[in-house]
Amino acid sequence: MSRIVKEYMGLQKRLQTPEFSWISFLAPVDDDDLSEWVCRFQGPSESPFEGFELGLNITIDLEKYPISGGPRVLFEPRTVAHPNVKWDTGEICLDLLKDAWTPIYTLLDVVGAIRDLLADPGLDSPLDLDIAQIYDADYEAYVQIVRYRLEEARLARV
Amino acid sequence: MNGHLHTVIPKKSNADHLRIVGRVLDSTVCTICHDYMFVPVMTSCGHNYCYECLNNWLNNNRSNVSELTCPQCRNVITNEPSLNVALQQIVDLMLDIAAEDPQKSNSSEVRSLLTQRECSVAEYKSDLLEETLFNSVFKNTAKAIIDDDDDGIARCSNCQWEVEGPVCPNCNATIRNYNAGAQNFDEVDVDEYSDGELEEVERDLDNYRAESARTVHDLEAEEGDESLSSEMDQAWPTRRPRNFMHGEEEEEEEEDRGSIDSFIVDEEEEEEEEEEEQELKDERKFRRASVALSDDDDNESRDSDFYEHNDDGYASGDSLDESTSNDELEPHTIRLTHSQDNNNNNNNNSARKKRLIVLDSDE
Ligand SMILES: [Zn+2]
Ligand SMILES: [Zn+2]
Ligand SMILES: [Zn+2]
Repeated sequence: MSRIVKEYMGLQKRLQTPEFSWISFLAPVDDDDLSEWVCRFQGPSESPFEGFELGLNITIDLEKYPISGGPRVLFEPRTVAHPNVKWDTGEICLDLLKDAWTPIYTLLDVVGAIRDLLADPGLDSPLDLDIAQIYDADYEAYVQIVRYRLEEARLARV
Repeated sequence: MNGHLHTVIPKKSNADHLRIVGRVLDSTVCTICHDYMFVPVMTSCGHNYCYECLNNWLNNNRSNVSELTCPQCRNVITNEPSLNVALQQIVDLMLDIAAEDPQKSNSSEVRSLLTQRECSVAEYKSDLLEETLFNSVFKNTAKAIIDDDDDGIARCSNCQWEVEGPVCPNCNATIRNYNAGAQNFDEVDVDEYSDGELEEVERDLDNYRAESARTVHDLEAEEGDESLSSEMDQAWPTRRPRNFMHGEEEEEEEEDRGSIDSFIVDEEEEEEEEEEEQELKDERKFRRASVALSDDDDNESRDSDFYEHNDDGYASGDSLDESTSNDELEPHTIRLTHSQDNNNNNNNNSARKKRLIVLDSDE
């Protein structure tokens, strides 16, 4: 039985536990195809993302996962203003998803790492230089931009 | 056996026994495949995996231009992991007991586990007999030797083929002095070799030169000059080591970190006085090269391999591995300002203006 099937089978039970109460939804788009997943989770507290729900689209190469590569994860495009997220595409720059991937990570680990990244950006090699600079120079302005964008996206969805 | 725990533990409550069993059961599960480890192998850092899983990971990992690392702790694995017999006995006992139970022994789950165990053990035994455990990644090793008399081309000490990465494309040897951080080879100088090893390498190189000369001679004798060059290309590759993909600017810094790493690895083998001397030498070399880039030497030498890999646009912002993450990230904030001042100032300003305008018009 493949690793992703094992994760899938234990997942809904784990999502019920307090440890993952911040994840409102994590499931395959279609239960017969474990290569496409969606996730919705609460922005981390004590960060500009607190109080907002964020959406992720996850693609898994079933041939490669988990030995030769992790999932491909994107935020919903044009929702997240963050130094390590490409605004237009939602692409996330996270070492864990690239060079630092090892097969011990699970989907839940990945979502957790992305949530941590929201609260604690890596400024070493930002994807959005613009936002990174604002974050660095004027944190209050950064918070306002982030929340303004999230609010905008929320209104657009309603 | 009559150790104290053998007396105390059996008398403990059911709840305690369940706790122990739960813990033991968890430790029989592979962190890669989430199945039971019927052939558990242990790395030198003490982590266990199925033989098959670790073999797959190492051989995949290897082709990815990096060192062989432990999936759990990212330590570099240099020695062949060995069968963890004690753990295997525990897994075996569990499955045997599950299979004994007259009701459960017919269940498809138990039968499938028994089949799985048979396959895993058979695969391991076959590799063991053929002496190809882990696809021989730990047996077949060599060093890249850079010879200035040979245009500075890096060659495999095993077969003299030109090497560029962590694996020799000709004899498939793992190149021990490949530096994944710098994507280059640590210099193999006299200090890093033991006497015997150095002699061996020099003998190899001499043989190689003699052989090459003979090849050229033979070819010249047999054929005209025109076909010579193509034959030569095969016998004696002339491609130079590629220019490694990252810009020159950062390379100097990375390379020097590399030499410090290799020094650290070797330090146990050296005599103590030699060690201090070497340290001073390395430090001077390092300072010279890194002045232009950064003043926090401290940070450079603490940087783990893990972050050195991260020089091509990935945020080091997060990792589940606590031990290698947070405290090393702080100084990067400073660097951001540096790089922007140097490279992106104009771009950034105009981009920022644009965004601010967009924001204004939105409101
Ligand atoms: Zn496994
Ligand atoms: Zn380890
Ligand atoms: Zn070779």
